[in-house]
Amino acid sequence: MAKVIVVTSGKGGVGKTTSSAAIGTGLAMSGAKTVIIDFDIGLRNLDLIMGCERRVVYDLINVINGEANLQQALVKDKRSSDLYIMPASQTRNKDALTKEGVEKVIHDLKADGFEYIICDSPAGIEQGAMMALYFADEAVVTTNPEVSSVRDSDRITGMLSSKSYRSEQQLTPVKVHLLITRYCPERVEKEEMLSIDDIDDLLGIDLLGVIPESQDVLNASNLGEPIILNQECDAGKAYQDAVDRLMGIERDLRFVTYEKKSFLSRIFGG
Amino acid sequence: MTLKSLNFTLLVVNVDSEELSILAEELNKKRMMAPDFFSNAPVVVNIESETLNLDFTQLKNVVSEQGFLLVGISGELSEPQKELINTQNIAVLRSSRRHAAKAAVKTEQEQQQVPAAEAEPPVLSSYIKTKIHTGRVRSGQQIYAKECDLVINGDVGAGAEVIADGNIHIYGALRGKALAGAMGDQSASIFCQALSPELVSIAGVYKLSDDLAHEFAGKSSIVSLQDEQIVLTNLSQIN
Repeated sequence: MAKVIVVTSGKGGVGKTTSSAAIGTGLAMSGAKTVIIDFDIGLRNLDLIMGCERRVVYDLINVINGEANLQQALVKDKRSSDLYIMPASQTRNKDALTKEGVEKVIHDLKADGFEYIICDSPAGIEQGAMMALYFADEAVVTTNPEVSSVRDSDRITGMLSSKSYRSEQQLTPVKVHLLITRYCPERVEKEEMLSIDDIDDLLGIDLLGVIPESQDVLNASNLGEPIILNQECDAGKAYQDAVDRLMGIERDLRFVTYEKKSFLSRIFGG
Repeated sequence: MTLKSLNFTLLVVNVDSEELSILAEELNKKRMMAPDFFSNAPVVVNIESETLNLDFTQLKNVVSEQGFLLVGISGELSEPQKELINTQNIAVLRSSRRHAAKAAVKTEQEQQQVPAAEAEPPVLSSYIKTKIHTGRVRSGQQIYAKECDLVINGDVGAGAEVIADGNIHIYGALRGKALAGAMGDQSASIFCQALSPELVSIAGVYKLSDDLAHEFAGKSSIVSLQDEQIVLTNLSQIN
């Protein structure tokens, strides 16, 4: 049964697209046919993070308007044969997204045998974001450990439970997962940052994963390589854990405690 | 099609002054408490004294300018006033309060005649049940319990609003806004397990978080109104 998963947050710049790319790639690496749809009409980014910006011909809006068919618009990933990207339009505005149009695209993707349909939501709570979450079965709410991001996540979680297809049809509610990104255990220790417990207190959402703050994430974005492909770094490993949990495999939380480096290891670079 | 009579509970605003700007202000204050709920809400204007010399056309305009629908006018009205109201196509309503009082006396007498042992508990023909919300109220959500108490089984997040015409009970933390006694019931209270609200209000009297006594922050508390002042008491100290 195909699953529609929206990656959303309310607030901008917290790592929605980075997470969409990582989760989508991770799912595809497990052998599931996966597509990531960029819903950020007018400000498309996903193609850059995925490193396929030079191969975009048609986009989501072209498909909705009937100017291209699904196969023409889907960009096949170079690294994984099970991964496809549906880019957003850079020239249209977000009102071009219609509920009927999005419904048809998702329906056609399911008919095409896609097992995971990842919807990369734009920031905000307007048309684009609403359309990205409307048909979701599950949601990954991306949050940074700071109050404004947490509050926006709270707002978007409220919308998932009131403005989605599942809520309107009174089906089982959208299953919401919390993904904390840019977590810095050292700053939490110094009480400069909200802890996992603080965030859980404020949001009460099941935790999917905690991605540590890492320079490697920015480097990966610049290279157009999803961070999950770099299994040398903590952030890549943490994303892999999150993907595993999404598929029902239990994984212990890693990279969430701060260990002071001892005097010797500082000298010898241990 | 059938014709039948039903009872409705309506918002009544008392007018004891000829100055209509006071009425406008009062209605505006009410509306601001919950703009969504009071938009186009039906309202009855109750005239306190027949000596008031009111312009009913103006009155109707004031009510509709504030976003309410004037259902009718009730109260102490002289015959010429009633005629004047009728010519404006406004209904003159007779309040049932006096009849209700008489009926209450009668049932009391009847009950006295019945021996106590045989007395059955009075069966209420209709009552408004407490509104119960299960789960967290999230930022941007608004829950309103019309003409009854409100129970929230969960936290009320920052940026969320819970409103009731009666009391509000929160089995969780209050981090957003809570407005009890929204229709003006000064005896309404707010009960919560952890008090860190953005705003609390009883019958329109409100306080922001900074103005609340710090010793209650994060504690289980009762917010009530005494002498038109917001008063906090500790929930756990009550026996």
